Amino acid sequence: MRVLEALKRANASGAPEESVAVRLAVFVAVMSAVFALAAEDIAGTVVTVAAILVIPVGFYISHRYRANDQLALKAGLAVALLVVLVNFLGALGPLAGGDITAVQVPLAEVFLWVQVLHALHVPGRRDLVFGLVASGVTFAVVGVLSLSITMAPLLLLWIVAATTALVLGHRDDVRAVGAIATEKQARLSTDAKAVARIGGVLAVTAAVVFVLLPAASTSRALAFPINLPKIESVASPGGLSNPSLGQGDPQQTSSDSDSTGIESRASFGYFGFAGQLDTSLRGRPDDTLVMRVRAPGPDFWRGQSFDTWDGTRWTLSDDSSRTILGDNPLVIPPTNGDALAVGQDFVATFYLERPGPNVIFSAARPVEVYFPDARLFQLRDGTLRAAVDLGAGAVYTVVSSRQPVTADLLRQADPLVYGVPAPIADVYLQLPDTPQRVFDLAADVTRDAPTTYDKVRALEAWMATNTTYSLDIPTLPAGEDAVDHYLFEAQQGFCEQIGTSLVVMLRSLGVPARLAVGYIPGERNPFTGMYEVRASDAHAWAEVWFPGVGWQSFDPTAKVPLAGESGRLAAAAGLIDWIQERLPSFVDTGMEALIVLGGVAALAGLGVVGVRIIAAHKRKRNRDRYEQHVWRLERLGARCGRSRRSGETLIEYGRRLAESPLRDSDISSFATDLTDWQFSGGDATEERSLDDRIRRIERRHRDLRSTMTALRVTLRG
Amino acid sequence: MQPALRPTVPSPQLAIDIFANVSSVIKGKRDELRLAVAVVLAGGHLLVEDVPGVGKTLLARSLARSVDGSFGRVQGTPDLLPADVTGVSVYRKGTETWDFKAGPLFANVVLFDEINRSTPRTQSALLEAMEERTATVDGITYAMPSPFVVIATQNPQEHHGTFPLVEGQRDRFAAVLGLGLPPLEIERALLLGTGGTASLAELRPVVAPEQLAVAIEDVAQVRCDPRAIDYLLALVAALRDHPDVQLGPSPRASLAFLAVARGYATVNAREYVTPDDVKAVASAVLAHRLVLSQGDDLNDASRLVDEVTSTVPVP
Amino acid sequence: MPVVWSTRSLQRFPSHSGGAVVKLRPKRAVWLLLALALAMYGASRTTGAGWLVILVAVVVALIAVGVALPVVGVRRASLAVAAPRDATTGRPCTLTIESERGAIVADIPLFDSRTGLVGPVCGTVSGVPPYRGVFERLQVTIVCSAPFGLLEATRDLVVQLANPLSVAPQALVLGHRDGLDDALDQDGNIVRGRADEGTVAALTEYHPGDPLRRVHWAATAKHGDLLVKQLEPPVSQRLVVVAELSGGPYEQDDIAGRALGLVVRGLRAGIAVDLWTRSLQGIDRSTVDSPIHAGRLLAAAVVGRVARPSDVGDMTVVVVEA
Repeated sequence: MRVLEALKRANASGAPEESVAVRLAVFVAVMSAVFALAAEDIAGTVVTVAAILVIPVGFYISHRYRANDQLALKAGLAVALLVVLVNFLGALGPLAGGDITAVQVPLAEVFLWVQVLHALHVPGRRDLVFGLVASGVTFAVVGVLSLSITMAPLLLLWIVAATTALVLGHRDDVRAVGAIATEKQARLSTDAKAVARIGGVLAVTAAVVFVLLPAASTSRALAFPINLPKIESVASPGGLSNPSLGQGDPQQTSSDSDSTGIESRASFGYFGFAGQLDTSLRGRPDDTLVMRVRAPGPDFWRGQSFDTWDGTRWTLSDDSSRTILGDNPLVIPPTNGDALAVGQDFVATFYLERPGPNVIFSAARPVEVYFPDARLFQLRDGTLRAAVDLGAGAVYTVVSSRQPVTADLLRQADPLVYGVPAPIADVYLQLPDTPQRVFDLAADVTRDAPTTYDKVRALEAWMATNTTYSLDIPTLPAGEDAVDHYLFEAQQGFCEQIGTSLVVMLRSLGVPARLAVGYIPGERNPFTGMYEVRASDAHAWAEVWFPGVGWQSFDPTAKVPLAGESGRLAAAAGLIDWIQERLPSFVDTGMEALIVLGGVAALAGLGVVGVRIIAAHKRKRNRDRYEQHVWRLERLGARCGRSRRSGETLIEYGRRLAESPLRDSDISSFATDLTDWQFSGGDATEERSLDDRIRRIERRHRDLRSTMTALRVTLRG
Repeated sequence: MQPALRPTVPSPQLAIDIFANVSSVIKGKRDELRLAVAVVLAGGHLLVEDVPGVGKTLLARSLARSVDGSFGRVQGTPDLLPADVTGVSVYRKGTETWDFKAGPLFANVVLFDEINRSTPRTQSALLEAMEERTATVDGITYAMPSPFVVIATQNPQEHHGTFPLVEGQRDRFAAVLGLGLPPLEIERALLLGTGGTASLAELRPVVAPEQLAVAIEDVAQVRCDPRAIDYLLALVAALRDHPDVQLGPSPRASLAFLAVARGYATVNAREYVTPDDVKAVASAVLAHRLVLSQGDDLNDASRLVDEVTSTVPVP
Repeated sequence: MPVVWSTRSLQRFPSHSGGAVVKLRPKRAVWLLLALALAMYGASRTTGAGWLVILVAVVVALIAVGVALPVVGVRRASLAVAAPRDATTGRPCTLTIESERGAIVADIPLFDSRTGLVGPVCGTVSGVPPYRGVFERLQVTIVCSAPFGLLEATRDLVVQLANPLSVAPQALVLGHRDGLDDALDQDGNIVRGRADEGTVAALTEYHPGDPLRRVHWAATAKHGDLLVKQLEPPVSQRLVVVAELSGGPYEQDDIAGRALGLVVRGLRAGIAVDLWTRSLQGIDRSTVDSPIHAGRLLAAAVVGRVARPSDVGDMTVVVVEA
């Protein structure tokens, strides 16, 4: 018996929670967590539907029977919870190996079950707070799995609900002690004001903390997510397959220079992810979201490269590849030209949204690839191809080795000084028949540059000054050299032209270079911490070889800092850009945003003025002339910091005001005359003169700074 | 009593005349003098309470002399009989009738010095006269003349051999005034003989009793705006509701309050009552009527009234 | 404009009148939240999920706001105290304490540890003082745990009362044992003096045979005829109670209570009462206006000898001692 009693005492959850408002707030918080989980579509349908239906019922029952000692229910829930936990552990069993990704679904389901079961029995404050914390942890689980910002409004709702529940709960405790007024009408407004105030403080503090925190990063201690919804082998193993480019085989080279065999490509398909790159082709992919990349910083997502230039087209000289086998991870050996020194780990996870080429994107030199398939093909230039088609929903992780290059390091690692090894020189110094003036230009521009790095920068600078970046350029006349046409005739082009010209000019100087195609980093979403890459981010740029460093990307248009020069990323990086992107389309710059904000503020101000006018009107209706004059005098006094005290007659107040700081004897005589007028019968003619006098006095003491005090008096009066 | 004559003097002028007359004798106490005149004009009775030697008796006597009427003087001593105050019916053996010899109470202005030294029985003899304006001696009721003003004085500090006024008696006084010490300059002028203080003996009456009676009637008609009445009632209500007050002012007190406020307005040469008048007379009129839950110090009471007047909002 | 209002005699005390030390007591929830924040931060560093950073920011902000605001609140708190001037031992005494800006009054022992007036709440506090005394200061502990109740910040304030609180002894009206026996007549009135002294009730004309003593010469002179006084039984007009305290607190209170009982009896009989006590300033000889007045005098009384009145005259003197 004593044991039972002890158990009972331990299980006693304290006084039942009486406040409906607190319960409602916790209910909203829990439901928002459930909906967030449902939106991510992680847990099974059955559980989700059960949660959405059962939790409201559970909360209602808990409220109804909060005073009852429901031992049977508690026992039943304990048993059910045990069953759920056992189930969960059972589901974990076969997934031994610390693979976090596979535990997602069971974990989410466990949380849902916990929420459902818990919601059935929440009599006291402690249980409600547990529910709140559980919903918070649910949001954390959802946050780990979420790729987009669909969770944002629900999270906001949760924050508001949690704040409300906590503040109201505490206020009820304090009210029970008698420290706050308890009149019914006052209670709602004071509570709402308190919640709003605390919520505001909380939001500001959270924003400050968020700005100070560093960005989330991935650790190699955990296993990386991999996924492949549909397994479809590519047509030819080792070859390139790109469904986004239509039915045609992208590897087939066309005989015509302005071939349009790639007609039926998807709007988001980039013709660079093919067997050849024809720089005479026009037309860019659209804004479709192609993939999301979770990375600790921005870098080029390199797909493949080309080494042979014939004046209009890029091709790959050697399409042969070697097979790499492995099982999570696949270890990638270095290729020709790669630096052998171990660089810093750069872990990037790619979540594909659209079907694309069967190319593994990576930053710099990939070292390990966590891939759903056990086979990869590596080309001689380091490009990695998969044996399966990579469609929407595919996920893989690449660990790259990045050398912490700085500008000075690159200056020292000068290929022209240290010499270029033969294997690299054979392939990457190739040039077709190019008009001499191109080579002359290159030599001319780089004459004063001491090192190769400076030469590259000099060429980039020249192109930035003398050419324009444009997506709308005239077609290349037949037979013309693309670089020559771009540099001297059209003088406008986009990434293919710029990159090609850079490569050609560098090769003419004896610097090994090649054209790489891939994606620029994309827009960083500061909430999820992922880079959102769109089809329009498809890009072609120059890669230059530096001894001891390897292939270094250069692109004058993309803003990717050198690996050694980029600092640690803050969690809020990209926040301003992200906000600016989402401003209405007619707002281009920050200046215009400010103007819009100003307009909104002006409208709000007008609204306030309107409210004041209406309030003044209502006041006029409810008060008579005497009270209005008194009120005007009081407002004047409040404006200069001297409000009328309780128990102060009008004459005393007028006398006080007439002294410092106003030093206006008219005020005291006005107060005296107003009193005399009212209490002696108040005839209308006298009243008009009083009106003029107070008006004159007000005009004399107009002071903008004190208008806020007056506003307070106004709204209170 | 003679029929009232319409005076040629309006009551504010009359009030100012009395005030000027009295202040020629007592310097430097303008507010207290105004209050005293206000009480007289309100038809109420005045209790002047202060330490000896500040001019209580002087004030009462100068007020009395300003009115050209009969003056009665009673000195409160412990052996004072009620008969000494009201008068005595004397049995005449010859005619076997009782002759009534009126006491000093039957006068227009009665000065009762050191009222707290007289016995409670004598004090109660005063009660009837002050309230009902009549006195009953040996079964026969005699009426007081009109106007009838009782000005009493007492020294609140003296406890030895005194009989403090009971609540019911204090309530009959419209107001209780404290004079306080004169400012030093006045005292110096007094000692030096400069300052032009007239002596009491040189004081001449400035108003006839009939005029005063009519003025009192006029003052009762002084215009009082509903706002001012609301303010007055708010003060009284605040006092009644005050936690430290066991028994607040009675409705008689409110009437006296209004009357004295009207008188005060008249003294300030106005024909209407302003909230300032109400606020100014509040302490004098209400403090002595309060029964506090703890203690019955008049200073506490007036402090309380001051606190109330400084917190109740004025229209 | 109708004005209805009720006053409270509140005295306001700014928060710097008192100790500046703030004691903190975090609830268990703070540590749990910290643990949660650390866990989420660790998860954000390993899984690379950006949302976790936001959640960490929210939880940290929650902790920061929940920990900082109570301290600010308790430092900025100001108290309004309404204390009565008088109380009686053994009877409830009520104080009203209001604190502004969300701090709750937690504990109010009166400054002198002898009395037991404690209250856990804000608002009206009631207690029963066990001993008499004069209390000028109030020690108050205020607590603030707004807005979430995560951390309790407490602070001690010493508040000086504008009017000292006098706790008077309970009046012990002992009836026949209070030493007045020899001065009482059968009706219980304090009687003194000869039958032919007393107050004059009325005057009548002289009849031959009336004792000459009873001629009222003043009235006779005024009216010209011989007038004779009719007397009332004499009653002693003045009672002097001398309270000499000695012994421990209980004995002192007993003596004071008996003295107060005597005073009350005298006042009820309608006679003037003088009370002689010894206070810190010396010997007080005061005429008592009311029981409250006597209570205050006795509350302030201390142990020590009180000289007896030398010239008794027509006074009745009763000495109350151990």
